[in-house]
Amino acid sequence: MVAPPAGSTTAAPRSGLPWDERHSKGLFHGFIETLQMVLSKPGAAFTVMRREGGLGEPLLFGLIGGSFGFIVYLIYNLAFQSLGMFANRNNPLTHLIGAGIGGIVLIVCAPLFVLIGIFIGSVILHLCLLLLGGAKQSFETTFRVVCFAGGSVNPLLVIPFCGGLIVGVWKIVLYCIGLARAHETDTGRAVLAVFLPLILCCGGVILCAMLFGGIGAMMHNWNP
Amino acid sequence: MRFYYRPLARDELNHELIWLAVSLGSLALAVAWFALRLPWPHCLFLAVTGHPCVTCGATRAAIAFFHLDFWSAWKWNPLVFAALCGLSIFDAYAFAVLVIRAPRLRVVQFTRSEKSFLRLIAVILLLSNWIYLLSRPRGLF
Ligand SMILES: [Zn+2]
Repeated sequence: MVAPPAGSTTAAPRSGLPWDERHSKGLFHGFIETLQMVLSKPGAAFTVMRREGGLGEPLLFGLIGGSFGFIVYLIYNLAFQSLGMFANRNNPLTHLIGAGIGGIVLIVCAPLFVLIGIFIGSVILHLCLLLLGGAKQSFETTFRVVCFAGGSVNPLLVIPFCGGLIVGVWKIVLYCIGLARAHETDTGRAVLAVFLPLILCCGGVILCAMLFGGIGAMMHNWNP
Repeated sequence: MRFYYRPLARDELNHELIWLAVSLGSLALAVAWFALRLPWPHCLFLAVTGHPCVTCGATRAAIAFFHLDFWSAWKWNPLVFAALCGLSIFDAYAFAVLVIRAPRLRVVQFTRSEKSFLRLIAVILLLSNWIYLLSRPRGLF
């Protein structure tokens, strides 16, 4: 059989999230309890989250939360655009509506977008963890973190106007905590793995911001 | 590091099926995106600094690649070209093993030094790709 990855620890078995008990609790209660736990106590949630057991169960959670959030986001966009708000040329939704693609088609396709997003997001995060030496567990562990973090935070897209910003920031925080706890790696590596794709694409922007911030701080200190 | 072929175990992830489906699904979405002439996201790094980031030119490299214009794809972004070549080889392998139910190729038991070596190679590839993109004429991207 496949040997455990080098550096992995033989940790105590994990009790699992409420989602794993949905057959006894019911789908709705299992989902809500997991969502509440991940959002309010992410450290505890990702410490008890099982690291293996198949992709299907976490994927279902991620798909429910993600599709719900995405569909609400689409409905808000369609509603605001019909009122003439946020109808800018760079918004793909504006183009889709202009191309005669109805909101219904988009809503039907939402789970497909979420599904592909979960897999691609997980593989990017896992590659970054591997590059930084923080991947102490298999790909499945990273996949589970992405599913439970995304599935829990994406429903917050129901918050109008600032929902996207809240979800974006909160998701980054959940990924950092989730990867650190699930892979049992140091938080620094987990944070760097989450930010590595951003640094690779926007590294210069971050460096410039730090440089100008530093210069600004120094000039402030030099002023009498 | 050991390479070997073996049948898929009962509780093992079917990586071949998963990644073949994900890559074909992503390709289908990308084709639909193009067919509908939807806008692609703009590079923030390029907009702010005027210089390309590591992934700049990826979309144009992919378009050239799927039009079988491999030289253009290579020139737009060598790393993306290499990744697309790797993905195509993987997809062909995955399709073949799924159809003929062949044993699966698995790579296991990396030593610490092998892992460090692979990380170093990845960093060198990323950096050399970026240096190449930065050396290209300004205003190209
Ligand atoms: Zn770029």
